[in-house]
Amino acid sequence: MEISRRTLLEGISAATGCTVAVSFFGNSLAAETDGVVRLPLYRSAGNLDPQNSLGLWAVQDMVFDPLVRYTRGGKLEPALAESWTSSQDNKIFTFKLRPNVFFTDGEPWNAESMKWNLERWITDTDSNWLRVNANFERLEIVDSATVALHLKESTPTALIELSYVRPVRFFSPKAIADDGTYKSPIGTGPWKVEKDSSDRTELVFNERYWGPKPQFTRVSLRVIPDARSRTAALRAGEIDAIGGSFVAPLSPQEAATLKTAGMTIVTDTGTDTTVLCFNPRRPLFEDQRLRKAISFLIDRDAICSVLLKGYARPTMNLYPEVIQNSGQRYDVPKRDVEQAKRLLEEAGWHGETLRMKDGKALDIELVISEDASPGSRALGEVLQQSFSEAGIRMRIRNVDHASRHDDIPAFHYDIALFVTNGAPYDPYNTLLQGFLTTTDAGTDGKLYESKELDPLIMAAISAPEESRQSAFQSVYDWLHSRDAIAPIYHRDRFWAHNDRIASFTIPATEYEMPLQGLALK
Amino acid sequence: MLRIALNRAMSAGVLIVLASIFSFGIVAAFPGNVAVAIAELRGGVVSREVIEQIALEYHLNDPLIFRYWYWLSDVMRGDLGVSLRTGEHVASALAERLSVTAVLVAGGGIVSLLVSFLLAFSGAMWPGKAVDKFVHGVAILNMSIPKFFLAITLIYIFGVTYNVLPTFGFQGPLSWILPCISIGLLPGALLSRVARVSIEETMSRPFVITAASKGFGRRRILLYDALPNVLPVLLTAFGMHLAFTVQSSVIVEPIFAWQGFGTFFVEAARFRDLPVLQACLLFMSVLFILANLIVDLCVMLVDPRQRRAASTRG
Repeated sequence: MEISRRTLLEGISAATGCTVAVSFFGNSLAAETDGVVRLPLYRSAGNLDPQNSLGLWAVQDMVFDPLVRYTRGGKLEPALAESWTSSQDNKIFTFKLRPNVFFTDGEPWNAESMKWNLERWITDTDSNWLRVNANFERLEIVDSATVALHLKESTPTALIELSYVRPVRFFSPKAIADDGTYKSPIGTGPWKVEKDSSDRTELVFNERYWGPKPQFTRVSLRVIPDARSRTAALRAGEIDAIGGSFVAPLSPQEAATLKTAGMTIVTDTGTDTTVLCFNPRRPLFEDQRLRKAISFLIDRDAICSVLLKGYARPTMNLYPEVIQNSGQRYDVPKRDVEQAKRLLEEAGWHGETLRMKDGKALDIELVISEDASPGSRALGEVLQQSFSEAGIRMRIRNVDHASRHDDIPAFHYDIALFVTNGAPYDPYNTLLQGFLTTTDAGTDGKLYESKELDPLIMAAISAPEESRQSAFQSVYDWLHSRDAIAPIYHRDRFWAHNDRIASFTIPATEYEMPLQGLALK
Repeated sequence: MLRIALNRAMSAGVLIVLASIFSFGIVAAFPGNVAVAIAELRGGVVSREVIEQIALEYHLNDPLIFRYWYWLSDVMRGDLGVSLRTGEHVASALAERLSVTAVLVAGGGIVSLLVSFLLAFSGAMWPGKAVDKFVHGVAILNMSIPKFFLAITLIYIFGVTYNVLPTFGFQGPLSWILPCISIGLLPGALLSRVARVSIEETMSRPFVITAASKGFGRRRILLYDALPNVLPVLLTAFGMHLAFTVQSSVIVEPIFAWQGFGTFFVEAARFRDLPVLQACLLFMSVLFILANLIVDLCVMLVDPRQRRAASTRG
């Protein structure tokens, strides 16, 4: 057979082209996955400076260690502090620092570096929402491995606050430029940042880490803003798990779909509560019978089982049991329209389709923000329908994130949906910021306020260990007996993972990655 | 020609000034207190004093006209400000993001052109026949599918079901295929209709009849006689669609997790990152104006009739 010069050249060109194309395209798909855990982020990790507030908590937690670590149920475990003691009056906390710990740049962790870190924020007014900041007196270096924190007032919350990610975590003094600005993420944590860009953050294990070594050596965090794309990537095997409110949020509907598609769904009790709140400054809601009637109209069981696909538990408590000192469980009433109608009649609201009193209609406005709290529109619509059955007209005003933070603190609403802070901030933070009349609500607003409630809250947050439980219970009983708020549900925390993962444990808070207890097959 | 170009450039300059007012004004008119949004981004529980301090720091209490002037002066110096959310310089971040979007726009443009030529010329080869009707149906179907739906469907088919293409990421040519198809298919279908109608109109002109009477085949007439006449119309439509493609990146990029202009814009809108929003809006306005200007000039270059008409007007 004779091959022409043209055919030969065409053949060589085609073969070369194919080889180049295969290597080009092949390389782009082939990614090393051995010993790598691949997780999505809903946005880029951002500036990881713990005192900057722009980074993602969970990534900061991977790199920077706390003094003490918050674990399930509010128990504190040693981290950079090997042990600690507190004075009887909770004004002096003495920390014995863990020896032989180094930042990833080789700098030693000691009393000096602890003091340097704390001094960066502990007197800063931006952080005065922390009691440990507001009550700060001085830091005392007892010896190179012992530091005493002196506070002006009794602060039982101090240790829990020192477990927070921001602004508390510790980084190398060398991570700061001469002008005081932050340069790079250098901590003592189990992971160190190898690459950080707008589309991914790659972390490798810190070989000098003082704690247990994980089964994998690399964590690849990929930025996938769209929830549908995250579920597709999980199903395609390009990432290993999805979940976490501040990592890669997964809705109950998406979790149900992924379960049907063969993914494993891991659930754990949630640490926050979705609460329907009545504007305490509206005279309309001064009548407890109206508040109680509204609470009776909420079909908590249906909301949890249908709207949230079973990933929530109905409640009448401010906090779930997993939160320390969350109090005794109250009975959750079944939806009772007749009881609600009776209460409304007693309160002077008459009528069938729309109740009236003194010529005024029972017409209220619910402010929600689908943007700030996905799923709140659907919940609002369910409530709207439920209330209409008892002659209450409810309008829904959906505002964006920024407008919500204008309207809610300014009390520009009749009723609104709030979510408590959850672990590790509660039980303290929601009570302090969301109920106490003397604190600035900031951007989150007040769930309820009453001068009568203030002393109970103050007594609870400063109560010594032995009387703390009963002091908190008094607060909860006060709220419950007055129907001051209408808790609806505790939402479960859930993650979906593929079959590359052999074991998976949901972390204690939403501010951590689920890396402890994670093992690959 | 130079005089016409200068006239057009001057008009474009006026439009850009108007666009800058629009870009600044629309963001300034957003609901919600900007100082609250900034305070929230800084973290922690924010007090009223901190919010007031931020308002002073960012001149938020100054009259709008002063604020516009401060912003414009910075923009003229090439300083688009600092992102409130990430702390990055907006100009450099925008440049970095645009390199990603450039791939999307270029890829989408290629898909658009291929689809439009394929559909328009297949229809024109056999006018009124089953192929033409089928092609017409395909074009209408393409135009009716929302981009996000198309993108998700493509991901589901090629990423999840057959696992032959990556579902997300900007990691080499294979990962470019689905985003480029998602963004290019709709403009391609629209362009195919524009081209098809123009071809039909051209094919009824006397010179085509002359060419046919000389014995040339339909394919030859389409490529050598009709195409040069259709080109100006197609170029105008393509130029406009290229600018729309940048706009569409707002939908397609987040779905494929591309950190380009679209994602940058969406995240800025979500987190009230005003400097980024203003820069993105200004960029988009300028892009539209310049795309129009370039298309106008290109059309004049390829079509002597337009050139003559413009010089008579000018």
